[in-house]
Amino acid sequence: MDWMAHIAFVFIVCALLALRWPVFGGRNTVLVMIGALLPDIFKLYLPLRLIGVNAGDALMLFHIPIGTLLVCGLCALLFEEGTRERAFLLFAFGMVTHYALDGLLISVTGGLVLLYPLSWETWQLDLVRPDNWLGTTILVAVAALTWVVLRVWSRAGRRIMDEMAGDA
Amino acid sequence: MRRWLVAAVLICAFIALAAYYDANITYHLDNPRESEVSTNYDAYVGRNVTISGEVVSTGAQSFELKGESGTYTILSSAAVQLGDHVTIVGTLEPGHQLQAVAMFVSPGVLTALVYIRSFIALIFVAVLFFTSWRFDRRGWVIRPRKPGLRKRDRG
Repeated sequence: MDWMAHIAFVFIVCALLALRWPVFGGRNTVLVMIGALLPDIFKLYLPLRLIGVNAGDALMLFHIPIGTLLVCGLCALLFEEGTRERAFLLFAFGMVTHYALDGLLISVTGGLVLLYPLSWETWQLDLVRPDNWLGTTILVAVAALTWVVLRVWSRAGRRIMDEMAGDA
Repeated sequence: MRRWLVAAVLICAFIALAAYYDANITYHLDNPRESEVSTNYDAYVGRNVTISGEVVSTGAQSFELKGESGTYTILSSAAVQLGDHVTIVGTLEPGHQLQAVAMFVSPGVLTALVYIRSFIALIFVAVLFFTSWRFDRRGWVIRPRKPGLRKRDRG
Protein backbone atom coordinates (compact mmCIF):
# COMPACT_ATOMS: atom_id res chain seq x y z
CA MET A 1 0.00 0.00 0.00
CA ASP A 2 1.30 3.49 -0.78
CA TRP A 3 2.66 5.79 1.92
CA MET A 4 -0.11 8.35 1.49
CA ALA A 5 -2.65 5.71 2.56
CA HIS A 6 -0.47 4.74 5.52
CA ILE A 7 -0.08 8.28 6.87
CA ALA A 8 -3.73 9.17 6.26
CA PHE A 9 -4.76 6.04 8.20
CA VAL A 10 -2.38 6.93 11.04
CA PHE A 11 -3.73 10.48 11.14
CA ILE A 12 -7.32 9.26 11.46
CA VAL A 13 -6.47 6.68 14.14
CA CYS A 14 -4.31 9.12 16.14
CA ALA A 15 -6.87 11.93 15.89
CA LEU A 16 -9.53 9.63 17.35
CA LEU A 17 -7.25 8.19 20.04
CA ALA A 18 -6.04 11.67 21.02
CA LEU A 19 -9.59 12.54 22.07
CA ARG A 20 -9.14 10.11 24.96
CA TRP A 21 -5.32 9.93 25.22
CA PRO A 22 -3.61 13.25 24.30
CA VAL A 23 -0.28 11.45 23.92
CA PHE A 24 -1.35 10.45 20.40
CA GLY A 25 -1.93 14.09 19.39
CA GLY A 26 0.23 17.11 18.69
CA ARG A 27 3.80 16.46 17.62
CA ASN A 28 3.57 12.81 18.57
CA THR A 29 1.31 11.99 15.63
CA VAL A 30 4.22 12.43 13.23
CA LEU A 31 6.23 9.84 15.19
CA VAL A 32 3.44 7.31 14.64
CA MET A 33 3.45 8.29 10.94
CA ILE A 34 7.20 7.66 10.75
CA GLY A 35 6.70 4.31 12.50
CA ALA A 36 4.15 3.46 9.82
CA LEU A 37 6.73 4.13 7.09
CA LEU A 38 9.70 2.36 8.71
CA PRO A 39 8.84 -1.15 7.38
CA ASP A 40 9.07 0.18 3.82
CA ILE A 41 12.75 1.06 4.20
CA PHE A 42 13.17 -2.33 2.54
CA LYS A 43 12.07 -0.66 -0.70
CA LEU A 44 15.58 0.73 -0.92
CA TYR A 45 16.17 -2.45 -2.90
CA LEU A 46 14.42 -0.75 -5.85
CA PRO A 47 17.02 2.01 -6.41
CA LEU A 48 19.78 -0.49 -5.56
CA ARG A 49 18.51 -2.75 -8.33
CA LEU A 50 19.04 0.09 -10.80
CA ILE A 51 22.76 -0.07 -10.05
CA GLY A 52 22.80 -3.87 -10.32
CA VAL A 53 22.64 -4.72 -6.60
CA ASN A 54 20.01 -7.33 -5.71
CA ALA A 55 19.49 -6.68 -1.98
CA GLY A 56 15.80 -7.58 -1.76
CA ASP A 57 16.27 -10.51 0.62
CA ALA A 58 18.95 -8.79 2.70
CA LEU A 59 16.71 -5.75 3.26
CA MET A 60 13.49 -7.72 3.75
CA LEU A 61 14.00 -7.78 7.54
CA PHE A 62 12.90 -4.13 7.57
CA HIS A 63 9.48 -5.41 6.46
CA ILE A 64 9.23 -8.09 9.15
CA PRO A 65 7.93 -7.08 12.60
CA ILE A 66 11.03 -8.16 14.56
CA GLY A 67 13.27 -6.18 12.20
CA THR A 68 11.00 -3.13 12.25
CA LEU A 69 10.96 -3.25 16.07
CA LEU A 70 14.76 -3.16 16.11
CA VAL A 71 14.68 -0.16 13.76
CA CYS A 72 12.05 1.49 16.00
CA GLY A 73 14.47 1.00 18.90
CA LEU A 74 17.35 2.52 16.94
CA CYS A 75 15.24 5.51 15.89
CA ALA A 76 14.02 6.01 19.47
CA LEU A 77 17.65 6.17 20.63
CA LEU A 78 18.02 9.34 18.59
CA PHE A 79 15.61 11.09 20.93
CA GLU A 80 16.64 12.83 24.12
CA GLU A 81 16.57 10.89 27.35
CA GLY A 82 13.15 10.83 28.95
CA THR A 83 11.31 10.74 25.63
CA ARG A 84 12.90 7.59 24.19
CA GLU A 85 10.43 5.06 25.61
CA ARG A 86 7.50 7.09 24.42
CA ALA A 87 9.07 7.57 20.99
CA PHE A 88 9.70 3.82 20.74
CA LEU A 89 6.10 2.97 21.65
CA LEU A 90 4.75 5.53 19.17
CA PHE A 91 6.99 4.17 16.39
CA ALA A 92 5.92 0.63 17.28
CA PHE A 93 2.26 1.66 17.17
CA GLY A 94 2.84 3.12 13.71
CA MET A 95 4.47 -0.14 12.70
CA VAL A 96 1.36 -2.07 13.80
CA THR A 97 -0.85 0.16 11.63
CA HIS A 98 1.48 -0.53 8.68
CA TYR A 99 1.14 -4.30 8.98
CA ALA A 100 -2.61 -3.99 9.60
CA LEU A 101 -3.04 -2.20 6.25
CA ASP A 102 -0.50 -4.31 4.33
CA GLY A 103 -2.23 -7.46 5.58
CA LEU A 104 -5.25 -6.49 3.48
CA LEU A 105 -3.33 -6.50 0.21
CA ILE A 106 -3.61 -9.03 -2.60
CA SER A 107 -0.44 -11.06 -3.13
CA VAL A 108 0.21 -14.02 -5.43
CA THR A 109 3.67 -14.64 -4.00
CA GLY A 110 2.85 -15.41 -0.36
CA GLY A 111 2.41 -12.56 2.07
CA LEU A 112 3.73 -11.05 5.29
CA VAL A 113 6.22 -13.07 7.31
CA LEU A 114 4.90 -11.86 10.64
CA LEU A 115 6.47 -14.33 13.07
CA TYR A 116 10.04 -14.64 11.73
CA PRO A 117 12.36 -16.01 13.18
CA LEU A 118 9.86 -18.25 15.02
CA SER A 119 7.98 -19.17 11.85
CA TRP A 120 8.34 -18.67 8.08
CA GLU A 121 4.58 -18.83 7.63
CA THR A 122 3.11 -16.00 5.52
CA TRP A 123 -0.21 -14.24 5.98
CA GLN A 124 -2.30 -12.11 3.63
CA LEU A 125 -6.03 -11.36 3.45
CA ASP A 126 -6.00 -10.73 -0.34
CA LEU A 127 -8.69 -8.05 -0.22
CA VAL A 128 -7.16 -4.87 -1.70
CA ARG A 129 -5.00 -4.32 -4.78
CA PRO A 130 -1.59 -2.80 -3.93
CA ASP A 131 -2.03 -0.15 -6.66
CA ASN A 132 -5.52 0.77 -5.45
CA TRP A 133 -5.97 4.55 -5.70
CA LEU A 134 -9.60 4.64 -4.56
CA GLY A 135 -8.76 3.35 -1.06
CA THR A 136 -6.03 5.96 -0.72
CA THR A 137 -8.39 8.71 -1.91
CA ILE A 138 -11.03 7.66 0.61
CA LEU A 139 -8.48 7.53 3.47
CA VAL A 140 -7.09 10.98 2.56
CA ALA A 141 -10.63 12.41 2.32
CA VAL A 142 -11.59 10.97 5.71
CA ALA A 143 -8.32 12.28 7.21
CA ALA A 144 -9.01 15.78 5.82
CA LEU A 145 -12.59 15.65 7.11
CA THR A 146 -11.38 14.51 10.54
CA TRP A 147 -8.87 17.39 10.62
CA VAL A 148 -11.57 19.98 9.73
CA VAL A 149 -14.09 18.57 12.25
CA LEU A 150 -11.53 18.51 15.05
CA ARG A 151 -10.42 22.09 14.32
CA VAL A 152 -14.01 23.37 14.32
CA TRP A 153 -14.75 21.39 17.47
CA SER A 154 -11.69 22.67 19.32
CA ARG A 155 -12.41 26.30 18.28
CA ALA A 156 -16.02 25.98 19.42
CA GLY A 157 -14.87 24.45 22.70
CA ARG A 158 -12.40 27.31 23.26
CA ARG A 159 -15.07 29.92 22.54
CA ILE A 160 -17.44 28.33 25.06
CA MET A 161 -14.66 28.25 27.68
CA ASP A 162 -13.83 31.93 26.97
CA GLU A 163 -17.50 32.90 27.31
CA MET A 164 -17.81 30.97 30.58
CA ALA A 165 -14.66 32.68 31.88
CA GLY A 166 -16.10 36.04 30.81
CA ASP A 167 -19.41 35.38 32.64
CA ALA A 168 -17.57 34.42 35.81
CA MET B 1 27.88 5.79 26.21
CA ARG B 2 25.04 3.44 27.18
CA ARG B 3 23.04 4.73 24.23
CA TRP B 4 25.79 3.79 21.76
CA LEU B 5 26.10 0.36 23.37
CA VAL B 6 22.36 -0.29 23.01
CA ALA B 7 22.52 0.96 19.41
CA ALA B 8 25.41 -1.41 18.67
CA VAL B 9 23.47 -4.36 20.15
CA LEU B 10 20.37 -3.51 18.10
CA ILE B 11 22.40 -3.15 14.90
CA CYS B 12 24.18 -6.48 15.52
CA ALA B 13 20.83 -8.20 16.18
CA PHE B 14 19.42 -6.71 12.98
CA ILE B 15 22.40 -7.79 10.88
CA ALA B 16 22.30 -11.33 12.34
CA LEU B 17 18.57 -11.73 11.67
CA ALA B 18 18.84 -10.21 8.19
CA ALA B 19 21.75 -12.50 7.29
CA TYR B 20 19.85 -15.56 8.56
CA TYR B 21 16.80 -14.55 6.54
CA ASP B 22 18.86 -13.92 3.42
CA ALA B 23 20.60 -17.29 3.74
CA ASN B 24 17.46 -19.34 4.38
CA ILE B 25 14.54 -17.73 2.57
CA THR B 26 15.14 -19.91 -0.51
CA TYR B 27 14.18 -23.03 1.50
CA HIS B 28 10.91 -21.53 2.73
CA LEU B 29 9.41 -20.09 -0.44
CA ASP B 30 6.08 -21.42 -1.74
CA ASN B 31 7.54 -21.14 -5.24
CA PRO B 32 11.12 -20.46 -6.40
CA ARG B 33 11.69 -16.98 -7.84
CA GLU B 34 13.56 -15.76 -10.87
CA SER B 35 16.80 -15.38 -8.90
CA GLU B 36 16.71 -19.11 -8.05
CA VAL B 37 15.49 -20.17 -11.51
CA SER B 38 18.20 -18.24 -13.34
CA THR B 39 20.98 -20.10 -11.46
CA ASN B 40 19.83 -23.56 -12.66
CA TYR B 41 16.97 -23.31 -15.14
CA ASP B 42 16.66 -27.00 -16.01
CA ALA B 43 16.26 -28.02 -12.36
CA TYR B 44 13.05 -26.02 -12.12
CA VAL B 45 11.37 -27.10 -15.39
CA GLY B 46 7.96 -28.59 -14.60
CA ARG B 47 7.73 -26.83 -11.24
CA ASN B 48 5.69 -23.80 -10.25
CA VAL B 49 7.80 -20.65 -10.05
CA THR B 50 7.18 -16.93 -9.51
CA ILE B 51 8.33 -14.38 -12.07
CA SER B 52 7.81 -10.60 -11.90
CA GLY B 53 8.48 -8.08 -14.59
CA GLU B 54 7.23 -5.74 -17.26
CA VAL B 55 5.22 -6.69 -20.34
CA VAL B 56 7.36 -6.00 -23.41
CA SER B 57 5.18 -7.54 -26.15
CA THR B 58 1.71 -9.05 -26.43
CA GLY B 59 0.08 -11.74 -28.56
CA ALA B 60 -3.21 -13.63 -28.80
CA GLN B 61 -2.43 -16.51 -26.41
CA SER B 62 0.82 -15.29 -24.88
CA PHE B 63 2.90 -12.26 -23.98
CA GLU B 64 6.53 -11.53 -23.24
CA LEU B 65 7.61 -10.55 -19.76
CA LYS B 66 10.97 -8.93 -19.07
CA GLY B 67 12.16 -10.13 -15.68
CA GLU B 68 15.31 -9.26 -13.74
CA SER B 69 17.61 -11.55 -15.69
CA GLY B 70 15.77 -12.55 -18.83
CA THR B 71 12.63 -12.42 -20.95
CA TYR B 72 9.96 -15.09 -20.57
CA THR B 73 7.09 -16.09 -22.83
CA ILE B 74 3.96 -16.33 -20.70
CA LEU B 75 1.31 -18.68 -22.04
CA SER B 76 -1.91 -17.01 -20.99
CA SER B 77 -4.92 -15.40 -22.64
CA ALA B 78 -5.14 -12.72 -19.95
CA ALA B 79 -5.50 -9.19 -21.29
CA VAL B 80 -2.30 -7.27 -20.61
CA GLN B 81 -0.90 -4.06 -22.08
CA LEU B 82 2.65 -3.04 -22.91
CA GLY B 83 4.31 -1.59 -19.80
CA ASP B 84 2.06 -3.42 -17.33
CA HIS B 85 3.80 -4.77 -14.26
CA VAL B 86 2.96 -8.46 -13.87
CA THR B 87 3.67 -11.03 -11.15
CA ILE B 88 3.02 -14.59 -12.24
CA VAL B 89 2.96 -17.96 -10.57
CA GLY B 90 3.22 -20.56 -13.28
CA THR B 91 4.68 -23.86 -14.42
CA LEU B 92 8.12 -23.43 -15.92
CA GLU B 93 8.62 -24.97 -19.36
CA PRO B 94 11.75 -25.35 -21.48
CA GLY B 95 12.84 -22.35 -23.53
CA HIS B 96 11.97 -19.62 -21.04
CA GLN B 97 8.25 -20.33 -21.21
CA LEU B 98 5.78 -20.22 -18.36
CA GLN B 99 2.25 -21.63 -18.23
CA ALA B 100 0.42 -19.12 -16.03
CA VAL B 101 -1.44 -20.49 -12.98
CA ALA B 102 -2.08 -17.26 -11.05
CA MET B 103 -1.33 -13.72 -12.09
CA PHE B 104 -1.43 -10.19 -10.71
CA VAL B 105 -1.43 -7.42 -13.30
CA SER B 106 -0.80 -3.82 -12.36
CA PRO B 107 -1.07 -1.21 -15.14
CA GLY B 108 2.15 0.78 -15.55
CA VAL B 109 0.36 4.07 -14.83
CA LEU B 110 -1.09 2.83 -11.52
CA THR B 111 2.32 1.52 -10.44
CA ALA B 112 3.89 4.90 -11.23
CA LEU B 113 1.13 6.67 -9.30
CA VAL B 114 1.90 4.58 -6.20
CA TYR B 115 5.46 5.94 -6.25
CA ILE B 116 4.32 9.51 -6.89
CA ARG B 117 1.79 9.39 -4.02
CA SER B 118 4.39 7.86 -1.73
CA PHE B 119 6.93 10.57 -2.60
CA ILE B 120 4.40 13.32 -1.80
CA ALA B 121 3.60 11.57 1.50
CA LEU B 122 7.30 11.37 2.36
CA ILE B 123 7.76 15.11 1.79
CA PHE B 124 4.65 15.80 3.91
CA VAL B 125 5.91 13.69 6.82
CA ALA B 126 9.40 15.23 6.62
CA VAL B 127 7.99 18.77 6.76
CA LEU B 128 5.62 17.84 9.58
CA PHE B 129 8.47 16.23 11.53
CA PHE B 130 10.85 19.17 11.24
CA THR B 131 8.17 21.69 12.23
CA SER B 132 7.72 19.84 15.54
CA TRP B 133 11.17 18.37 16.20
CA ARG B 134 14.73 19.48 15.66
CA PHE B 135 18.00 17.59 15.43
CA ASP B 136 20.58 18.84 17.93
CA ARG B 137 23.95 18.10 16.35
CA ARG B 138 25.87 18.74 19.58
CA GLY B 139 24.31 15.87 21.49
CA TRP B 140 23.17 13.85 18.45
CA VAL B 141 19.65 13.91 19.79
CA ILE B 142 16.24 14.92 18.53
CA ARG B 143 14.42 17.44 20.72
CA PRO B 144 10.96 19.02 20.57
CA ARG B 145 10.93 22.46 18.93
CA LYS B 146 8.66 24.00 21.57
CA PRO B 147 9.50 22.63 25.02
CA GLY B 148 6.40 24.35 26.41
CA LEU B 149 4.18 21.79 24.70
CA ARG B 150 5.85 18.75 26.20
CA LYS B 151 3.60 18.62 29.28
CA ARG B 152 0.49 18.52 27.13
CA ASP B 153 1.92 15.75 24.95
CA ARG B 154 2.59 13.56 27.96
CA GLY B 155 -1.15 13.43 28.60
